Amino acid sequence: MITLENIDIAYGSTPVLSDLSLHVPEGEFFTLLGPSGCGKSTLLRAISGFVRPSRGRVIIDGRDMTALAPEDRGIGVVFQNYALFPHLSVYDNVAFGLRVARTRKKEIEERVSEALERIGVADHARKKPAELSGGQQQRVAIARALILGAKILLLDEPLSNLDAKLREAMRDEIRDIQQRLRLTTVYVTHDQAEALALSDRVAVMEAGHLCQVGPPRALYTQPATPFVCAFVGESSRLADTDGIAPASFQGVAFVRPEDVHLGEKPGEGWVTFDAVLDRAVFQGARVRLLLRRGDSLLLADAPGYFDDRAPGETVTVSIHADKVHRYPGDPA
Amino acid sequence: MTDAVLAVGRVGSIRGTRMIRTTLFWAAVLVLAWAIVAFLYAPLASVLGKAFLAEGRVTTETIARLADSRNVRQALWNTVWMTAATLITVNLVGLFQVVVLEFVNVRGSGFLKIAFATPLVFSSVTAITGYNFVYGDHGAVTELLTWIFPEMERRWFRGWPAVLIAHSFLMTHYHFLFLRAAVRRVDYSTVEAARSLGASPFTALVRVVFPVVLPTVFAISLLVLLSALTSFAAPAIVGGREFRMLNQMILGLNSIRRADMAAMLALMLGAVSLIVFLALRWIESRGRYTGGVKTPVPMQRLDIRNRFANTAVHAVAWALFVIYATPVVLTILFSFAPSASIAMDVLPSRLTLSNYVTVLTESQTVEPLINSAVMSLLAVGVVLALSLFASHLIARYRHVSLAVLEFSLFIPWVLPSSLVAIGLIIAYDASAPILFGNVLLGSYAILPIAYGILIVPMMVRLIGASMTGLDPTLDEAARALGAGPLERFVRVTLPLLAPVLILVSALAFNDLINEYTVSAFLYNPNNRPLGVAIASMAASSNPEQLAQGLVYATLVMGFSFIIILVADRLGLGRAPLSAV
Ligand SMILES: Nc1ncnc2c1ncn2[C@@H]1O[C@H](COP(=O)(O)OP(=O)(O)O)[C@@H](O)[C@H]1O
Ligand SMILES: [Mg+2]
Repeated sequence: MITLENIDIAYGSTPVLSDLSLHVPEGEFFTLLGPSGCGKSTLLRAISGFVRPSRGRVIIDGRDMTALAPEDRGIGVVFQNYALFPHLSVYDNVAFGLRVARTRKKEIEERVSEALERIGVADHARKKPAELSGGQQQRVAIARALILGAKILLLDEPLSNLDAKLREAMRDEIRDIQQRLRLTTVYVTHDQAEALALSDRVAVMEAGHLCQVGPPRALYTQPATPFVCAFVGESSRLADTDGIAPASFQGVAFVRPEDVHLGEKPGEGWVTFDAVLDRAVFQGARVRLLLRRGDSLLLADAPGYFDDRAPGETVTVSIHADKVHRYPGDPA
Repeated sequence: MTDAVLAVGRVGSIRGTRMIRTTLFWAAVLVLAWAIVAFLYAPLASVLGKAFLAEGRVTTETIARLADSRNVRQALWNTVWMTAATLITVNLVGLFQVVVLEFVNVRGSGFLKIAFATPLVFSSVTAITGYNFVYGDHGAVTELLTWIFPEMERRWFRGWPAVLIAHSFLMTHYHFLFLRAAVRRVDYSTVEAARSLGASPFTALVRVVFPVVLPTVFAISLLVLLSALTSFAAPAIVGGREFRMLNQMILGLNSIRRADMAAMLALMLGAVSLIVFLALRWIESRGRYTGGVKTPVPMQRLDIRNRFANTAVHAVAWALFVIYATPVVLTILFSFAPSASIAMDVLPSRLTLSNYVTVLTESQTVEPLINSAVMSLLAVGVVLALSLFASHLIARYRHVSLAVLEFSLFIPWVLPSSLVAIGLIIAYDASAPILFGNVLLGSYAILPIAYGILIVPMMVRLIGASMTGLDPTLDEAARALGAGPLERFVRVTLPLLAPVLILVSALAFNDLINEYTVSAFLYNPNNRPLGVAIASMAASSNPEQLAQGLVYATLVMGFSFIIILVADRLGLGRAPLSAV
């Protein structure tokens, strides 16, 4: 549905994206995940048409749209701050696209009323956006983006202005809408939990290039680079790879907290060693242990009832060699 | 024993300083109250009395006499239609400028911006002098035009067309300052949202950006309306006999001892100012459409894709550049020209500093400069001190009398220059008890006092706003550390306000240094101010005098330029509209 071929984008003389290619099939929920400033928004804006690549092609639904203005692309866009028109009522915001397209008045009324009904803000139709709650503004923004019947929806960090509770609820709503309308969706976020929870596939971005593209589970269990391993989920870097990797191994190794087990584990592939407890942080269902082994800090998860060790005590832990993510290279 | 003596002594000295402080405080309150009554209420009351009372009874005779005068009717009509025409042309030029500077990509927009900013430094009598110099009978542009079209009338820059041209290009500074600031506050993602919904850039401009800045456009239009209505330098210098406006009529009536009629006309201007003021407050109270957006995306310029539209926009933008730049550049250039070259050549034959040397060394020419500088400084200094004190009172204490004080300080806002002048003339043309038996009219003090009244609104608004914007916990922290009120004011409040105070004083001084309207009404030959000197030189046909006028104009421009540069750094565009 959406294909980017060898895209180059620069602001002035600063390159932001170079030689980037990507394919998002129809109906997929695709997420761009990466730290702030890595170029996610720029990539999204190349799809919506607000930035023009200096090289490469943007192909949407089989048509080369590289040179097409945003207003001629027919793509729904939801902005980080929603970008609701502050001078127009909720109703007029949602009706905007239909009015620009010179739709008949009667039809506008039907479609807008139906859309407002469905997102549960029909009672607020006459209000200005500033009078709505964050969640309601969000829904209006999505309704407005979809009123023209777009089959592609782009969202740029749509949940970042909401508080934690609401964020999860809206997350599910967005996923519902996407499933119901079978929308091809490209979603931008810097929150890995959000990306893992929502997406069919995720692309992890770092400094203008894609590090790894794949389903959430694959990213988590087989991170392709140290960056992906560190950015998706939690992990600790192992400074000392004795017994965990072949003696000849040169590079960095990571392990996830849930793969650091307390006590001795007998059997093939297990490595057991002692570490010193720095701190135990109670987190409800579990206790997060901060362990120190030589120079390196090791995170481990213990059950919620773990409470019988004091800081400074020695804790014995075991790691299975298969659960260690190894990346050859300069270990510096 | 000694400790006890010391303690007693300290208590005594604390009591002593507290008494001095209390005395000073009440003395300051007294001075403030006296100044407000003597220079705000008394002149206004005298004007009202003069206009509506005759021998102690209310009369409508003045109105009837005004209605009878053909000249007055003519000036009134001229003023009304000129104001309406100015509103249209200034909005056309100003809106176009803002679109070119903030909304689309135009080549060389840096140069355009400088040209469009010139009315900030090239204003009032200075600008009209410059316009008259380049477009007048012997002006460089006229020379050029008659060389191309020999049949052309040399005296084309006269009457209403000249006034309208001057208004159209010199009154766009509100657009330049405030509309640009408003456009920049528009969330750019709303433009992108509109486009993702199928709107073209132009449609987005019209349907999304324009409605959001419409209150600002409306407010600016009110300010332009007021400027056009009270325009004085333009009709006085280039309007000629055939085109007179209200302020000239007021001055004329006053000089032929028809103070009642002058008062009535000035009151009419005051009434319009009052309506404008209330309308501005109403617009401000309704607030701007910024609510709810936590992270507005800054405005970005768009390319005009249509070839024809792009060419047209570039052509108009650069034509405006020429219109704006020519008078300024030629004024500056010819201030360095030998007098033989002035009013003869299109460009100076050579450059020399001799005009500057003459102006700055000969007592007759340096005097207006010094007069205006001293009188403006006096006005700024006194008003600064009084507004600081008044703002301090208003910000700190709660009392009914302070509501009265606040209201009183709004009065000057609705006093146009001519009303200030007429008020002082009528109230103080004879010995007055409130001035301890002095006569103000004809004295040196009358101009600094009038200048002071003119700058009160700006001073009070800006100082008051920054005073209430101060973090009160700073004052409390100083208090917890043992600082008394005066010490807190000197050591905490004043240093925090210092940038604003310097800026406001400089802006006020900048406005006063070439003030023309009040100066023309009130000056006496012994302290001729700069504005009056410039205007008389503008009308002169003597090249020496013209040259001196250009030197004055260039000096004023240079000074204003520095002030505006500093003001821009400190974010003048964000000031409340009614502070202007
Ligand atoms: N309009 C712009 N002009 C210049 N540089 C920009 C512009 N927009 C973004 N950038 C720069 O491009 C890089 C990528 O930005 P962006 O795509 O917004 O990143 P993200 O959305 O991942 O935070 C950043 O370094 C940013 O500073
Ligand atoms: Mg971004």
